[in-house]
Amino acid sequence: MIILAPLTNTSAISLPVSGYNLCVKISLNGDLKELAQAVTLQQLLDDLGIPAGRVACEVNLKIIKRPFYGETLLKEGDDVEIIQAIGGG
Amino acid sequence: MSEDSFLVIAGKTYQSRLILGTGKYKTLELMKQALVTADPAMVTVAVRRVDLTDKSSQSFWKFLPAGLPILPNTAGCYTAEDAIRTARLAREALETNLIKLEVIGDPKTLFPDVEATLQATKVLVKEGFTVLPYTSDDPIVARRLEEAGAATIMPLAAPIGSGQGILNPLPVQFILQQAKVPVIVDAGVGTASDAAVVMELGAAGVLMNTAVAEAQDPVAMAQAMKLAVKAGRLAYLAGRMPKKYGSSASSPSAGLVTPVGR
Repeated sequence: MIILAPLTNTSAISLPVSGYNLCVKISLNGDLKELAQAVTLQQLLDDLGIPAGRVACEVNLKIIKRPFYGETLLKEGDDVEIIQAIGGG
Repeated sequence: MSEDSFLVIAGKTYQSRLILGTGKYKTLELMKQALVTADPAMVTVAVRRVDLTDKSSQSFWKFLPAGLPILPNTAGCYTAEDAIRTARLAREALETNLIKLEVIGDPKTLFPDVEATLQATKVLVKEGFTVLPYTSDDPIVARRLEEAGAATIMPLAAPIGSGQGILNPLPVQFILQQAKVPVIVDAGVGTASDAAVVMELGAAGVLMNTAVAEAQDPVAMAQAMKLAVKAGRLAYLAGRMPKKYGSSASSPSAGLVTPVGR
């Protein structure tokens, strides 16, 4: 698992945490998550069990095209959105 | 029947004039059966965050008939900025340039914010989207949207999800008379006759969701809507008789066995 427990302290996301150099705190679909290590977007999707086929991903409001998931390293404080199509009018 | 039987949007031909939504069905299986039965030109979908706690939401695709064109919407967006962002995400996720642009102005009525809709249309057209904007029945706004490059004009018949049928046909007729792009009446249809009325006015198509999804038997209503859209279109092409303010007997008076008034 690359995702640790969700964070409840919202201020933690922007604060540097000494002694946890390998930890990366991101916002994932609006929830704060702590990643065990610096991972790529592709690794995050794999870990979540989300096939890349029919989703779109945004990091800090910028859409990441599918071919670049593997080279997009998630950084401290990144705002990650993963969206999909669902039923609607 | 002529080629007029087909709906053409941005150069692409569709065999049906019915567009169906995919929301509000009791089960995904019911949705699938309704879609197969109605055989619509395309189906709308919403764009939302992946539910990271519920994997079942990812099975939605298994219930969409293969090959059915997808029309993502920007439902739930209240600003041009949010709608543009959602449209871009939809294009990335679904690999389509089609976008049903909705910028809602008010949560109670779900009426469109036409100013923001126009603004978003301009941006999205520039970015290569085929924009199908949901709008009010205002002919001036419709003209502005067309000038901005909208691929269709989609005026409401009645408030979204109200099932009222077309409440104000005259402005929709004004839009139909002036528009050079297909006019697809979007929202407010409640039953088959509502769809037929809209098509008889000369609309190029009808988009609906709740009327089918919340019918007692959605699959039967899907069939009814399919037939109503076809019947309405045929009646439009046939050209209805003029309305008269008096009766006119259908059988000749000559040759009656019993003279009238004896």
